Amino acid sequence: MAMPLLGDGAMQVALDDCLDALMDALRMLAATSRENAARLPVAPVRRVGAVDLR
Amino acid sequence: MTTDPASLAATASILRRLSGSITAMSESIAAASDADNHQLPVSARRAARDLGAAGAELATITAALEEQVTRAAYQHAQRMHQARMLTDAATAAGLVVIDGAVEILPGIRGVADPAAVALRTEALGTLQDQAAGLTQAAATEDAALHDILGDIAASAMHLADRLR
Repeated sequence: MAMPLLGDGAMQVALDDCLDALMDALRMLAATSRENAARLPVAPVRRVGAVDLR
Repeated sequence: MTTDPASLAATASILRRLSGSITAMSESIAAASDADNHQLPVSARRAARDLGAAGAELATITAALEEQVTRAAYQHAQRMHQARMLTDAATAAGLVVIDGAVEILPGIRGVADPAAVALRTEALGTLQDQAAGLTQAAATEDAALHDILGDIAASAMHLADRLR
């Protein structure tokens, strides 16, 4: 039966847009964290795979 | 991303872990911004406070998306189950589902039996109503989910713009 499923185009685009926006916000938070890292007592964001973690 | 139930559930799991990590990070930074922490200059405490608040906000947005993706995975699986049940019921009643519509199998079959024809006609009406109900409910759920996803995306974009 051809039920409308969440894999349909519009919903897939909405989910992709949401994830893209979330990742963009995460990237900006990481960038802000790195800018402030020198002033703060702990490095707020760890880069996965980075050799030198604080 | 693909939106089959398994992929949605896997995405929800990643979002749950991400939200937890961001929350832990935010709490760690917020502790550094404590007014009693005189090891840090005021400007650094302010930066830590702002960063902690932004992190907490992103964790909340991530958790909200995780909740919606989890719900979407459940709804998708439920719809697949309902569609399968309806198709099975149609087949059992001598009917066929074509492009989401329940129909009488075309062609001439068997011996003319008024009772059987009446039963099939009744089943046809019942299953057509069920199919229409399921489709309508799915459309309503999708519209609501679409709006919520739009709101979550807008919140994330707003936060990113503030941090930019």
